[in-house]
Amino acid sequence: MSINLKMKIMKTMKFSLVTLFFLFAMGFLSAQEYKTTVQNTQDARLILKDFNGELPIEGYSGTEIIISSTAEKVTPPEKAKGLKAVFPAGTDNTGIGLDVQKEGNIVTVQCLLPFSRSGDYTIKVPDNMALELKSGCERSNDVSIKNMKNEIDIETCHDIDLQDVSGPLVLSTISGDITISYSNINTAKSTSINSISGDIDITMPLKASVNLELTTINGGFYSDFDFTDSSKDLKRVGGNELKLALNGGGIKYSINAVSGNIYLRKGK
Amino acid sequence: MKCDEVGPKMVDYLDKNLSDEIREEIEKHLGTCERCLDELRDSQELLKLMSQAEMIKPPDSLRINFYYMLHSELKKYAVTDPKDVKTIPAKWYRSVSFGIAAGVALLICGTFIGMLLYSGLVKEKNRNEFALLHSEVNALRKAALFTMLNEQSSSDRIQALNYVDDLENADEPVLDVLIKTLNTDKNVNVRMAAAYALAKFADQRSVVDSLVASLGKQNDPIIQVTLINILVERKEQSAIKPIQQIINDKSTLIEVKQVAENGVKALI
Repeated sequence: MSINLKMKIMKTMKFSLVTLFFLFAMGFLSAQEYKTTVQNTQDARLILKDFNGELPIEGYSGTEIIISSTAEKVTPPEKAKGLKAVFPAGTDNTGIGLDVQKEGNIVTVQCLLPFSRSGDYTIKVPDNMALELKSGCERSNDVSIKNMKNEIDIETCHDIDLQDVSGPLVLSTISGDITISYSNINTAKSTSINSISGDIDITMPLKASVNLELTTINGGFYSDFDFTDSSKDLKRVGGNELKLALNGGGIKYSINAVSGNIYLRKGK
Repeated sequence: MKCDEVGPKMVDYLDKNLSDEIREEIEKHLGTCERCLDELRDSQELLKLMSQAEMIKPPDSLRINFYYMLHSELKKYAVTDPKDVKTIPAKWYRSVSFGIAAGVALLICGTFIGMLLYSGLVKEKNRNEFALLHSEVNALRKAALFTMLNEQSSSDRIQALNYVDDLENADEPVLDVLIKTLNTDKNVNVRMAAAYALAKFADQRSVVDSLVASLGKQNDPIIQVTLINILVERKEQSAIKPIQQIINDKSTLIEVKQVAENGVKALI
């Protein structure tokens, strides 16, 4: 055989080997996915309930909610053919331990896994949808959200990390730190942020005009902003309440920390 | 009352210068008499125009013409033949200069009275308009409160509760909806905002009792802290019992227990 032919055969063999290997590997590391399309994303809302483990969520410009899980796939037994897995919180209609219900423009995703099992979920969601997350202390873990332009409503127990968000924000955590960094802040709607035993660290756009109302019980408040109108009321049981107008003031922006500190940093 | 009795009382009616009795009688008559109602409208219009009318200063030419006219009139009555004249005894109040002086004095008084009446009318009108506007805005705020508390978005519901800040008084329906929101809203930040909204009306016994009752049923650490703070600030003794219960409850968070213990100390 000529050299050229030999080389050609070698190349195809290499190629097919690589493809074979790739397909083989895919079988093991398969991320299972669930997708659903949403109409009128700017008026729609995604509600996520009781997700175990960490939950990274990223906004993107599109119309599909894409939930992937890299957890080990549990193949149902042969006898379950034609049947769906039923859990205390609902029925799995996605194949990845989730119960998805759509009602009008509200998509509710209930995680069904017992808290001993982690779903290792990642979510991609249209960036102009409103996002709501509710999770108890026994199963939740840190939440991190990137690039969302609409309302974010979170009730959880651990850390909340929001990057490139617009708000309005309604956040509450029991024992986590809250870190927020805005892209374009929506100052037309109220924001309310609570943490019992964590710090609240917000990077606020320089020109944001809001009426800040801060309460700390055992913590302090640190900022590099200039506050013009300030009425410091020392009230509360051993705590502080501060009402400060930022850049002339505006809608109410309330921050409450029980035993943590509040940091307000100047952003761009 | 008959039409010819109402007519002369029209201006006093518009100035609200009449007793309640007479006013009622007039209003009863107006309810049945189209002609008088028309006259009322005309009078209203006239008063409105008068108050809007600019004070016109008489032009200088008028003054000059007046003296010219006066002079020529005086010349007309000037004695031509001394023999024909029946002399009127010259008394000081019959002199021409006195006449002019009296005329001018009357003119000044008249202008002064006119100015008083004018400003009085305007003030009364402004007061009435302001009161009307104020109550309209209040009604709008209440309507916004009830509507927005049904919104899907937590931020919208919090905004609704912010409207309560500007309400001067809360009647029973408003208080009821605030208490309902405190006890049953699905979002903890909204429930907290409802607690603070109620705190504004905590000089009413029923409101304080509802807050104490709510404290006794709370499991949420954030609401526990909020209610303890509000009640301790009011030095509300009846809150001691539910606060003690929170201290003794094993499932209470340490941070909340601290707030509760400090609260009890402040109350006893």
